[in-house]
Amino acid sequence: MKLTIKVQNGQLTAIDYSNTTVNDGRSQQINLNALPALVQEALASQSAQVSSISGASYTSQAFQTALQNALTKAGN
Amino acid sequence: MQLPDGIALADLGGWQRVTHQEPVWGTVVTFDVRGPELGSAAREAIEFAVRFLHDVDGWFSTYRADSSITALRNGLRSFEQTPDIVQQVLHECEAARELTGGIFDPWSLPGGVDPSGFVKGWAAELAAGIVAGNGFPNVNVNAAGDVASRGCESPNQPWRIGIRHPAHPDQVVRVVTAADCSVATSGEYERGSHIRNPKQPGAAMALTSATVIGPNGGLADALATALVIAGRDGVAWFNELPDWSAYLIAGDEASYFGPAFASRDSL
Repeated sequence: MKLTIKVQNGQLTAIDYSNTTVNDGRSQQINLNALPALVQEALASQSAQVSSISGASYTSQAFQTALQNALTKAGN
Repeated sequence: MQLPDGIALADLGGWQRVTHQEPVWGTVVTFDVRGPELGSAAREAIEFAVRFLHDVDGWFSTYRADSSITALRNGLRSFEQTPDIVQQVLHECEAARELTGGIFDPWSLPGGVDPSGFVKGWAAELAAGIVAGNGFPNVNVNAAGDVASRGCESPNQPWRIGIRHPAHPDQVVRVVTAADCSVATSGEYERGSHIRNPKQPGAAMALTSATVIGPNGGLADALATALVIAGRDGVAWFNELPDWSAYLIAGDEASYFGPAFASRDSL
């Protein structure tokens, strides 16, 4: 599908769906903001205060080293 | 295990905290209850919700020979003979299938109907509701990465949920404030290739990770998986869901929409 990306101040970009073949006109109601590099987001979240972590499902084995496990035990 | 640099447990603001980790469904479900005064009754409230999680296993585990869903898959029971709660979940799965134009389709999987892609988020939301309904309105339930929140994490501060970086387990890419809603994430970075595109079995996934934030935990779970398959084409589904938000990651590109991201203050 084709997307038209608008960069604003080098940071937030709007993606225009108006020329796409898979979406109807109503999809323009949703303004999708894009950041070209995920690392920017990760850096912005440094010193993040969180209570819980959302991520792809882990097994009980993988949970042992998961951030969520450390977060639950923090301060306890 | 220590928290990595840059990530801290949000300040409790003077509140108490009771946590519990329950091994179930081949993973771990985490409970986190907050409040000015909790006491032993908070653990009892969690225990009610834990019993529910194990009931969910008995209804929906495709790994168990004695589960309701296995009986349905094997033809030992008809749809009408399955417990009402299983029928209800399958009806909700049908609605999710319709909403996603068949991209989320528990009936397309080899081996028979498998609502696993809906159940984890659905159960997390109900488990949080059980704890809240037993007198503890500030609760967070994390079912292996699908999160349901009620109330606040500290006085006047709704729960803050970090979205995990798909390539770096110890980093978060974004923090969202989740007041009485669910945050579900899907991707193949944790357990390898396991999501199937019903339209093109064997096709590569469009996204590395999709996180959906909304008022229905089961639907959030289903939509996250469907977005991983469909990518940005799936954004159109949200025209009918104005209260919902999503955060999409494709390689090293992130994009997002919806009220959860209305303000950069949510960082």
